[in-house]
Amino acid sequence: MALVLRGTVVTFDAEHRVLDPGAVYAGDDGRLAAVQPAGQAPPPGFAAAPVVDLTATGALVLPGLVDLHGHLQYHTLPLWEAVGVPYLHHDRWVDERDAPDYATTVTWPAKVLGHAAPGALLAYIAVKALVGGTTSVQGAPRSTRPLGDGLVRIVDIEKLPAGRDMVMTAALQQDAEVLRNETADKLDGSRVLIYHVAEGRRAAEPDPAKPVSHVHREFADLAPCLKPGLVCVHGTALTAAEFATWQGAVTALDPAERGTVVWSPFSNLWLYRETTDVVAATAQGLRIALGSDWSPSGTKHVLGELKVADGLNRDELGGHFDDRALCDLVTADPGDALATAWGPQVGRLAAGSAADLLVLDRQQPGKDVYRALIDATERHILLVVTRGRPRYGTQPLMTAAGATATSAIQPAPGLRRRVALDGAGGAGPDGGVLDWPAVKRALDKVHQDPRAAFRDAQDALAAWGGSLDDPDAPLALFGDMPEGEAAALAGTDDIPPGLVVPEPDALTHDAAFLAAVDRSGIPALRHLKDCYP
Amino acid sequence: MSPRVTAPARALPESTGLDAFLAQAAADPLPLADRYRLLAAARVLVEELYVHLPLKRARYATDPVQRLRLLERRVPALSELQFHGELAGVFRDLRDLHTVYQLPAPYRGQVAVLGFLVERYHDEDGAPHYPVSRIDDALKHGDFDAGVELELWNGVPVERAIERGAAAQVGCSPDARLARGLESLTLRPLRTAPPPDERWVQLTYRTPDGRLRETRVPWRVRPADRHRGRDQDPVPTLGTHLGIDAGNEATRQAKRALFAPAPARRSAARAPRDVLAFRRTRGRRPYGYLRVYSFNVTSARRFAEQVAAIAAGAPADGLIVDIRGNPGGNILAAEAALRVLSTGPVDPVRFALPTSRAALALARANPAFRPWAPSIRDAVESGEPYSQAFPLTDPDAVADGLPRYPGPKVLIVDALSYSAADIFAAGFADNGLGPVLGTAGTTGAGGANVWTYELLGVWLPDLLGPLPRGAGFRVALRRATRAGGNAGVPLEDFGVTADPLHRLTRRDVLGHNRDLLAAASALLS
Repeated sequence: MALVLRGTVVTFDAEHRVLDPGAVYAGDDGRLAAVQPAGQAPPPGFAAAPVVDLTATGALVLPGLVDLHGHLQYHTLPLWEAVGVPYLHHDRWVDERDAPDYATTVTWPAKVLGHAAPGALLAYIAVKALVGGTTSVQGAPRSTRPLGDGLVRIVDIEKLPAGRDMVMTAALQQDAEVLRNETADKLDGSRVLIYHVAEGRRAAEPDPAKPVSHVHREFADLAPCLKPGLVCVHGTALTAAEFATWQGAVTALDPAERGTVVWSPFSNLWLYRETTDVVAATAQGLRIALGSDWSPSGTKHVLGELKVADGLNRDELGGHFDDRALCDLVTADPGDALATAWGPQVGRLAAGSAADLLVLDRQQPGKDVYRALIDATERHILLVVTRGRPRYGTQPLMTAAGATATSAIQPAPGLRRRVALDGAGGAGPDGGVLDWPAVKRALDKVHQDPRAAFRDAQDALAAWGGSLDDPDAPLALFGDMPEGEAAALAGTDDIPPGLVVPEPDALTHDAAFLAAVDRSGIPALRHLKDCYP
Repeated sequence: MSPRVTAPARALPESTGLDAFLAQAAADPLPLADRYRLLAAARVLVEELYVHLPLKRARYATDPVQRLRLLERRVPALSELQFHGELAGVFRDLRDLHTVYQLPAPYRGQVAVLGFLVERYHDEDGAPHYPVSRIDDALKHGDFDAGVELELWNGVPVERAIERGAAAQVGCSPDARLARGLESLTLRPLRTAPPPDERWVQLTYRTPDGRLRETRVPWRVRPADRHRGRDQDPVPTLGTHLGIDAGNEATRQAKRALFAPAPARRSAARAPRDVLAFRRTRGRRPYGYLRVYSFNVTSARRFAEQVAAIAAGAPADGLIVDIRGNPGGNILAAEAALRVLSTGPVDPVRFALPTSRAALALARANPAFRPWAPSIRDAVESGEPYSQAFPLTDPDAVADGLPRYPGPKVLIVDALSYSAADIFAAGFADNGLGPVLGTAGTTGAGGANVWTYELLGVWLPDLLGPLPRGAGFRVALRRATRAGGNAGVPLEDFGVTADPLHRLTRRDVLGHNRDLLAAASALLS
């Protein structure tokens, strides 16, 4: 379905043009046919296309936001207020046994949801991303059958270009031999590797005379993969020297290429009370992208993460990033990182780019377009378009964009929007297509009686002796994070006594989230409550 | 004078003639490229993920990897049926019922049947006899009915025909192969082997009053298992804790569909009530008799609950647990049931992965395999072919809160008690629950946790691509070793030794196991 948007177009293209007024032409093929001043003649084929004219409202048209770090299976869970913080590194909190322990707070609820309501879970996390203006997310769970094109692009499984999946991901570290003998060869300039590394405290770095610490060894193991296309998630413990080694290796292969660090400051602070030295990383020429990480230790989406980055930038980094550079962290920069593997560019608006769009309330006439994005909350998200199709937005804009089969949704009190799931969540428990009410019912059913829901799901899995690519085959999702003490009942249809599968995490940065942040006492996060009045 | 050859007047219900089925298959042959894909997948599986490869190479002096390489060269010269036969043969010669090639459509979900069953017993002189024990009504004609004893099979003495059939079977022990050979006389799942070459069998039999007769019975093909209108295997595609002979489970379910009392033919096959039966033995001092036909159930907990409920109502004087013919299933269910039957803690069987690169990739990709990863990685230096071994679960946790059976127990096994049933028997013996009485010298000797190719592909998508037309493989992925006093002893190929041994009698085969139960009762008294 072709679509035209007219308004103030913030392109994030190579010149960072702002077209005011501008026009964006999204073609039937899910790509942009043209991005140009509004007065220019439209490209062929758009005569009958619906037009969303925003010029009178002052609304901004931007690329859909890109969230380059998540673990989607866990994204319905609330913040995990673990008592053992700050942890030394990523292997420590997995073994947290004190309440709220990791196994029953994180591992088991995600496991139960992934088996008992997989379609609803995927739909919910996609809607959560849309509510934050996000059109690309990362962190696909493993699944028993391929997941189709959903409401948002899932970076790990998106088949761009031409049906090929060129993005490799690893939330768990690979062995040095595998990295050297297998993975490194695949980084041939056409693929991207999104790899968790050095997630822990820099302060954990030992005396040079002592053995190299756990998280630094991970980075040392990665040496053969320090090539174009490498995207390192966290890198929290990396030093300026290690960043220099990395970018130096990339430059030696291709002076035009840059490595990418995915920065998840909220999650870093939540678990380790430290975050990545992004100033040192950029000083060495590395590119930074933001990631919201998983909801047990992250923000709801990158629109929230942007505020964490903004606060740190202001209070601790001396304004290292200007507003445009901050906005690049959720648009152009992750888009460029993915461009190594993906044909249509995301995160930048230009002819040929992916037709992933965000319409944003400018908040005040004449407000700086980049500051408007940084300050925006979920209430300022007016329309989100993925693959050229309107997926989420206000009733008038969804109608103007030609959206059909939409459901009413209220992401926060008083915030009314429409969402077009359009079967993206797959079949519901009764075999019908999931709409938004059905998504919520399916998740609520698991919340109400997780034991029964898990047993029913296990029965369905056990009853299936056919091919997994059969459309009727049951779907199950498997998390990509380490499992806590799950072994005692592993493989059974039973769950730990008294297990609570929480109601789905709020779609917005709500009072409960902000209260948890407040309880954490993390100074660098205190300003968040002011961002969500 | 040779007796006149008769034939059944009616065809077996809900079945297709073998010729018609083969014509349908021949109309749409498997393309050459798909055959190569199957061979490539088989090589990865056998070379990288088959945990028993070192054992099989040593024990049977076989080289399946080289055979697959050779087969790859010969593919263009083979007909489709020859190809399936050759590939199935490579796996058959591993002598491992867990590790099989599964033929694609239209063979998937089908079973070739004659419509009657043959069993074996020994008379007082030790001579074997082969009576027809079950028969579909459509097959009954003239004197041909349950109770007749077969003498010749296509003109060959039945004993020899079974031996020839046994040679084509997978089982690792002579007893197991013989039992499978006997079963395959009349029933052959097409998922794991091509259809029979012969279109019919000519039977020479003796009636109960001693007259010699001949009849000719055609092979027929009928659906084995369907779910939501789709061809299915009788074992879950997604099971992560299975230990089962899928071929025998298909046979068991086909037998059930053909010969069970009408209400049981269509009930859910994987519910505890359909794999368990209980009664009291007759006699001066009655004991409980618990028959466990299969461990192929969805829920370990519900299975354990059912066993606990049965045991709670059993006489306190003793319980006979009979797992003959049990092809295995859910390992956790087997271990949880064992826990219910024991008053003390049960030391579970432990499982190890191979130390290959693919196994390491699997352990890295799947968080549930986390405990196995370090020892696989360290194998480069330790040289160990197997990883460190861990239990799959904690039977105490699964059976938590259920009542235990405190009375004396005896277990009955045969050569077809396989995999999860082997594990059950091993646990029974190793944890001192009671004597193991066998109708064969050892159990089926399947010691592994088996995964499907498709399930492995969820975690190793780059290594294991899609297969054509629903073809598949099952592979022994984690090797089982025993606990207690036999800690570390593998179950594969060795099984559990039965002691004492009881050879089935005619009264057992045709008279509800009367002598066998008497022997078991004697062990309890």
